[in-house]
Amino acid sequence: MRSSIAMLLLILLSACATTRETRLYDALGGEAGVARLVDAIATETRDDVKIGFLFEDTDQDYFRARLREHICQISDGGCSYTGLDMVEAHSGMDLSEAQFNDFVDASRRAMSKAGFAIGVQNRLLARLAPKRDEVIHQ
Amino acid sequence: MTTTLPTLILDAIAMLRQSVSILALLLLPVATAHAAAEGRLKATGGLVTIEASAGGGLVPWAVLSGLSTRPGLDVVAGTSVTRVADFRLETIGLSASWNDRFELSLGRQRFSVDDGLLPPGFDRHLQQTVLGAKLRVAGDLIYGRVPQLALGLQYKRNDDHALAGALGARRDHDVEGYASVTRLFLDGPFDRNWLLNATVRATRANETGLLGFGSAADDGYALVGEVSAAIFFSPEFALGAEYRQKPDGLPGLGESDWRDLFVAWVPSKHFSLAVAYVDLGTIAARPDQNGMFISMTGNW
Repeated sequence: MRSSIAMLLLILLSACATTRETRLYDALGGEAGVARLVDAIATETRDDVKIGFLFEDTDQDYFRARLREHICQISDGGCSYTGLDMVEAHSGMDLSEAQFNDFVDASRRAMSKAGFAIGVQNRLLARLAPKRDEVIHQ
Repeated sequence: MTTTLPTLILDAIAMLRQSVSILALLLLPVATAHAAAEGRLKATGGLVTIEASAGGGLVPWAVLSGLSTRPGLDVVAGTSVTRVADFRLETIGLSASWNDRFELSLGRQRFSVDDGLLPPGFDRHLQQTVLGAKLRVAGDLIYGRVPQLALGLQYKRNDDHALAGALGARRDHDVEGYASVTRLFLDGPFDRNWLLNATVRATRANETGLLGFGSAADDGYALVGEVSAAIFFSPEFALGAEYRQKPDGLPGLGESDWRDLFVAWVPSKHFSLAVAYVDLGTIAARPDQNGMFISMTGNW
């Protein structure tokens, strides 16, 4: 029993530990990958039944361009984010914890649909999570 | 009982069927009365433990049942069946959580001893009620620097003290306190999210209270540690293990720590299923109590 459990663990873990791209930006597929990712996330969140209304007045082209820069920057792609900082960008919206989580849910759905692997999704979300306090309740 | 694969599978199917029907019965009135509150991420409400508090299968976590944020009310129901060599434990649990801050829970447990193991005159079903309260005092499961910390109380009462009393238990009811700290580590090893929990409990329960509390020789509280760890292969599937330290208060019974290895499936924000291999060690001087655990949780 014990050895079969250890075996099972090994198989499951090695299935996850596929060759890791050191730079998250490369794992996302570089410039084209990030563009595809941002389009998927922006579309999914815009059409989301719970948080879609938050993007009603959003200039989608501007939003997608800034989000591409932002994700490129935090994934070590060497870009500089030129938009408002996170606090300014969300000020006056008074976003709730639930809305932040809805955005995470929608982003996960978008990334899965667009074919991004779970490990890459986790790496990206882990870099976005620390920004939460600059996003909610502003 | 010799456990072969076919009997294990048949047992599992029977346990699943029983759990489904109990869960459906528990949730039917709840579902019609309460609209969905699901502001938190999937799986962050844990399961309903055997003692009804939110957590893993055997160990309470610092998370509150359900998926509400502030303001919000959650109603959660769960049921579990554990089958080991000579015993069977069935539990149902109901809980309500407010504002991701405070949880109240009510659990009922039925522990059945297999035929022929008890002297005549004893009921082979031992039943216990567990009333729980849990307060989140600091931190967050996922965000910020501080992991989520909660303090909890469980008041436990046996229906019938005859067997526990005959085995030397001093009380038929008691209060336990615990502190839990839980964190979901994003992007841990293998680019996966990992859940880690540590709980410290002050208890004098024998076999979690199913065999009463304290004994003639030892009526003091013991501090025990309980831990859970799980890796999320995806947001839907987790593999984990738990270890629950227990005091050994009743003389001659050789009470063991409990442990399990579980797979949890969380297909939606409203339902989760966990299946575990459990090793309950020696219970009432009967060794090798290994077997299977199935738990279902639904929330509305």
